Amino acid sequence: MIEVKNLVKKYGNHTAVKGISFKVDTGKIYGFLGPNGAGKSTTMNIMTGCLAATDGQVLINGHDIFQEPKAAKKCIGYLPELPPVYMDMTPIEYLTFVGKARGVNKAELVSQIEEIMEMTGIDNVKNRLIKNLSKGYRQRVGLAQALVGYPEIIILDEPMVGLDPKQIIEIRELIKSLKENHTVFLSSHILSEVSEICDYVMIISDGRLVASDTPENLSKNFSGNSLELTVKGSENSIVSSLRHISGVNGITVKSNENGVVKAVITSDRDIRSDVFGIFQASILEVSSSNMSLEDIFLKYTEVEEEVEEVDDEDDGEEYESLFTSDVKKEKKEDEE
Amino acid sequence: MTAIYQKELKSYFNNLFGYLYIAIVLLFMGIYASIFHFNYMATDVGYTLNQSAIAVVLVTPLLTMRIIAGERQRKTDQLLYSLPISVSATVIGKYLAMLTVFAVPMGVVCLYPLVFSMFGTVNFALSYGSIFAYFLMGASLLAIGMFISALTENQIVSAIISFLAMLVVYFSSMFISYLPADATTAFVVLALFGVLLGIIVFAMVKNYLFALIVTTICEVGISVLYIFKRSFFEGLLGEFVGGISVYERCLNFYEGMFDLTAIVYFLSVISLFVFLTVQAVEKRRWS
Repeated sequence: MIEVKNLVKKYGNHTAVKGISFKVDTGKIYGFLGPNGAGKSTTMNIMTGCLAATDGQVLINGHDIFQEPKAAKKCIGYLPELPPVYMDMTPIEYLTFVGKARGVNKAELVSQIEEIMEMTGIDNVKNRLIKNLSKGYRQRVGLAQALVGYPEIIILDEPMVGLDPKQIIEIRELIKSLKENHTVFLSSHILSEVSEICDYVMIISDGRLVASDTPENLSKNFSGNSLELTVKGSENSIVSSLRHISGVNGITVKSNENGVVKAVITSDRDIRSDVFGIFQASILEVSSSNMSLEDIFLKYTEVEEEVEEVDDEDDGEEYESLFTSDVKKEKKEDEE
Repeated sequence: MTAIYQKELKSYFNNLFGYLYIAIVLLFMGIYASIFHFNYMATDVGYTLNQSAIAVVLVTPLLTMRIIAGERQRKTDQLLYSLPISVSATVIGKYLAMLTVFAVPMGVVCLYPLVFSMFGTVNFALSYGSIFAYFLMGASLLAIGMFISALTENQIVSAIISFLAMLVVYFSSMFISYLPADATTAFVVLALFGVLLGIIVFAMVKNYLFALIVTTICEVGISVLYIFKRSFFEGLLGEFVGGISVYERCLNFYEGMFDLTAIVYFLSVISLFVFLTVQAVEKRRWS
């Protein structure tokens, strides 16, 4: 289990991490999501003891990473942004070194390394010098390194970078399979990856944690009950009849062409049957517009600018109000 | 620590540096040995050691240039930080690996007195005493080089600075007789060092007031010392420069004196620079 309390990191005058707190429970895959420069790598480097924090605390299984580094680091396998491989070693030499350094006993080490090399698919290059391996293979050697000694917590900084699509699928499956015995904490800026494998997503922006929940909840919280409706008829009559449905909060007309109106309706409850009741055969299309993780991500990470300048986009109003209140809620939770 | 030690040692022999270092040291040793011992029939290995010291001084950067800087350049230091090994264990492991590489040519040199003894009488105590002192000298140079490597993340820069430092260490003793011995010059130089210290402090803490206070205290202290105890400054420059010269310390051993102060000196230099290396590596996490 990892516990991060009010982490702050300053580089001179620049504050990279501005008070992040979260808890990571055992046996789940956590995704750390954020645009470039949001403070993901800095946070991960602090969590693994590569960097010292300006303020705050990191507890790994109850051991403070600064006070009891040895005990804490024994529980961690870390793959930094750039795979930390030695170019003049072969993968097997490299993994043996890491195993010895982690204190894996000799008898176990050989079979364990064999197993890990098979899992990560590097057993066919195990006797080649790492400098002769491609980027994807180096990445996988780096990943294998994080698994040596089977530490309880595996922290991966952008593990999929540099892999081809087939490898991405393989590594994704591998990470999913790790869940049984390990806690995985991975960062990424690729959303599909995170929504695919993570049980829990934390979105970080500008050094702050702006949201953390399961991917499903995140997208549900965001869109609420939102319906996209395409219907034949005149705009005015459609809007007025929609207004009569109880529970409708907002109606945004997106387009009105040749008597076909496209509108997005947000409401407190499921209003699909009411809509069918009113428009019946003139309905061309109804779909619930759940936001993808991508939209959520963009909304959250653009928070700073958008909260300040009141948005004047015509179709985004409902989202914005929903979203700012969510953020406030989120921040309150953080403070608690 | 053993894992780091084994890894470093392996890496010296996985690439050219280890072999190159051993080859160059042995080449110089061999050339001087053949001149002194086979041409001039000397039996004390000290002659060879004394002359070939320049070789050790010049090739030390081959071992030290990448020892810390290389890790940083390749970002493998992040791996080392995340492993359950303390920074001091890492640094000591690396240092021991360098010592082991240096011990290879020194092991070969240990055979020299045995070979010489087949042709005449050899004072073994003197010979092995000299080799021991010489090994400590090389070990001190390696510690200095390792510290320089910890200051930069560029191996080339590290190599060049180490090389310059080694040259200063080697040639400093030759300058002593040319340095002015009077108190005033020593005072001026020391005062300038005080200012330099202030600049360094400012560069590190970015605080005018603090740097100014440090400089003022230094300058006042030096001035007071100059006014009340002028004799302190006489010959100070020469002593200072002589103190840097790691290589001078071996000379007593070559003449048959087992100089305990020299051993203490070497051990102090080694511990100081290993300690400074640990601090420099540790400091990186706080930047």
